[in-house]
Amino acid sequence: MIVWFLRRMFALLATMLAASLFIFFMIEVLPGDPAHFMMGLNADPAGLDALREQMGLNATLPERYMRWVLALLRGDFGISYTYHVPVRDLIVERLAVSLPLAVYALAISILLAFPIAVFTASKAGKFADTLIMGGTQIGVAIPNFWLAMLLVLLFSTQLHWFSAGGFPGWQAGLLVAFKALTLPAIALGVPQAAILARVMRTSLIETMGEDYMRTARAKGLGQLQVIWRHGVRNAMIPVLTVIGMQLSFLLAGSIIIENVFFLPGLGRLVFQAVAQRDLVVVEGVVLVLVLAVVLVTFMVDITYHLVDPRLRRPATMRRTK
Amino acid sequence: MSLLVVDNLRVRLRGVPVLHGVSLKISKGQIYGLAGASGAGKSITAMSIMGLLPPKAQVDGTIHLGRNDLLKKSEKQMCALRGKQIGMVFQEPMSALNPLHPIGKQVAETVRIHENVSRKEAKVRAHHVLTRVGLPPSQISPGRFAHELSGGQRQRVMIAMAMVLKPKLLIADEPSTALDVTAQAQILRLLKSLVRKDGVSLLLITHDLAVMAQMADELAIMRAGKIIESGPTPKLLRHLDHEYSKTLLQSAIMRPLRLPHKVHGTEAVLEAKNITCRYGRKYRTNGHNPPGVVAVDGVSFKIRKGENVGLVGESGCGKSTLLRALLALKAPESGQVLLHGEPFLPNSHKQTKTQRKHIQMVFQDPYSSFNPRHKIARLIAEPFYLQGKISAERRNAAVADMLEKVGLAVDDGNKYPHQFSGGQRQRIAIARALITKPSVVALDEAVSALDVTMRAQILALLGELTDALGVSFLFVSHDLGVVRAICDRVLVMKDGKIVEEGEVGDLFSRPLHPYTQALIAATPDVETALEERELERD
Repeated sequence: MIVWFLRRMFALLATMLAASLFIFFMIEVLPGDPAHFMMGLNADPAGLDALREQMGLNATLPERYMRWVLALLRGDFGISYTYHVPVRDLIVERLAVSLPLAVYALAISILLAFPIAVFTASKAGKFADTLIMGGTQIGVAIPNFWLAMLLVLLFSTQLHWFSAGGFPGWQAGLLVAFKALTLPAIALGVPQAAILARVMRTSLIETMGEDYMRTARAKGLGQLQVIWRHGVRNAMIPVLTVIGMQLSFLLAGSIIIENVFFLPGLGRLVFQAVAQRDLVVVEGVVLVLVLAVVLVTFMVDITYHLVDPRLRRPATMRRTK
Repeated sequence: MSLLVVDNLRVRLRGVPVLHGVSLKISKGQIYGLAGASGAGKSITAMSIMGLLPPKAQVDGTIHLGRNDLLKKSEKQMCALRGKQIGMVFQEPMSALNPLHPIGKQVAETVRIHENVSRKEAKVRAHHVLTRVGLPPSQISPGRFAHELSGGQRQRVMIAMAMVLKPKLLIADEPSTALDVTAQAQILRLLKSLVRKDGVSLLLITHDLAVMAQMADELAIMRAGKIIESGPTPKLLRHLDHEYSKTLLQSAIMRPLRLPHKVHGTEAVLEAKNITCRYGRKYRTNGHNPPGVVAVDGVSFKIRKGENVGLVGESGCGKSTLLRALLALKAPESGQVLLHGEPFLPNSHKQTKTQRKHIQMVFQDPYSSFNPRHKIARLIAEPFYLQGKISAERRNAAVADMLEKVGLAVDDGNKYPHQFSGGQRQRIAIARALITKPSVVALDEAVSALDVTMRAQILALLGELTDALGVSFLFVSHDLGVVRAICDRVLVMKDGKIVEEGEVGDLFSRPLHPYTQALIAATPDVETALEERELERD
């Protein structure tokens, strides 16, 4: 297990290295010179050159890459060209919105999907199942920004239950902050819940046909007990992959929703930074997102190993106690 | 006094009648055998007793367990009886155990469901019963999972789970069918000794009359949802009335189909020279691994033209690894495979593709070895790509010819695999293997998934084909009876080595190696079993 863990850690580092190289060179080949952008269109060439020198843009590519990575390792993401503050502070500030939003949306997705899946699986093929599964089909098809606009129209404009956007900050109080994140989280979470419910339902139905479920019945367990004690954990294995993918998606993919609700999240940060050629910020945010996705995948892998004994040590290596 | 009385049991599934008035009585401590081909209604009878038929089944008649009228019980009352008064052991011990729970926990669960005891007490009881079934916790940790056990050990866990509460009735549905001969003999012996010691009645379901001849006190033969005859086992098997029962018995006996000492050419079509295969070297999880396991250890043999050779041994003896090397799917670590005297090497070599048409393969599971979305004609014609371009007419003619040769109709080519039974699918697999006119066809446990009657038919077909087409079959199996029926020569494999080799007649009548002797002794045989029982009684 420890060796496996170390190997996974090594793979994780290698992924990060590859990602950092990729991000760095992608941004290098993109058109748009940040110095030029900062000085304006009528910049004096001498001044421009001085600024480029000052920003370290005149050094060779490998040199600049090394400098960038070494700084990253010290936790120094550089200074934003446009905001003139350390990128690290920007990212930390924005993560305080994006991370809770992603987790909130994922919680909504799981909490909605789980009962729907158990219910429809137990009624598989019947009218209620067909009806609900038809509903989830619509849920999968709805674009989340459109759902977001509908939610705003209903709950903000009509009912005035929630504000239409903006984020008061965590200092305004936990409840207030969560309330501000509720509509965006629903908009993000509902389509994900539809996907998750469908995957979970299929997996549960498959598991219910397994021989060991029949064995459990033969031992004297009732239908519901069998599903709960023997079915759910087995059915969760494929579902875990989907949950991991959803968390990654929700972290990195909420740009549009953040824009709809004027949330100061990572998505909006990277969106604005791209528009303003603020390469230092783009590099930093993208790298953080890659790290998050890689970490989530890693966590899903570890969960797999905890849930499924077949993935642990090979049979021949196990000794009796 | 009868423990279980089933009277005029009728079952309809989705409106289709599947049981037409089954009646049987099992007395206390008796082993009652229910035999018949697949689809006869044996398992439906068992599931009716358990109350575990599919939701919309219509059930008529009565089932009494002691004073309990089982069909009148509510689901909740049945839950209290299942596991406590009626235990059940299923066929496939790998899939019948939950892969995510340790075996000790699964055994203890039966106790915890029915008796209000502490976790610790349940664990003690589980360990006790695991010791009784031959899995003492000091040797086989109850913390193991199903995938860490052999097939026989898994079945022991199933038996422990069913027997931990000493039920009055144990139902065993094909408990040894998925196991190889030695494990089968052990499991049957264990079942018999446990039910005898605890005074438990056993309803034993199997299609294998040889097993019945050994085990059952009373035997009933089922066909198409009815019991057609029943009686005390030895007496019944000696004097069967019904034509169908007689066919079933004949299929179970499997007399040799091949003439003894038939002269074959001396030319070797397939030759293995000192083949050694190793696997497991890739696992480097803890850094100090042994250098892999030697699965095949210096094996040499020849197959001559028109000769059927059997390769027997328990699971894990290296049969499948050897077969992979023979088919050039995997390069052996050392040694050579010669096909018509030419080296036969894995795919990277140019000549391999032209050689492939000389050697073909039939697999064990006729259900999963076809693409379900292709029609039969296409499936059979598939190996033609090995022969280069061929006109559609010639291809169709060859497919039609082959369909007839394996006993199917020409229009069957337009159907899909799911429209055929297991035995028919195995015929299709044979047609697919023979279409390239190969010199050798390797059959890996090709009849193990079939029931006795179909098995007998397929064996007869193979016997005809080998003479008609001059093809050699390499028959890989753990079932000595099958090998005896179809083969001219037998290779016995143990721990990666060929321990004995000989003509079928000689090998079976005078086995020299102790391992061969043990294998033959473990193979259930109707005649031997009946003789032994008659001796016991006298």
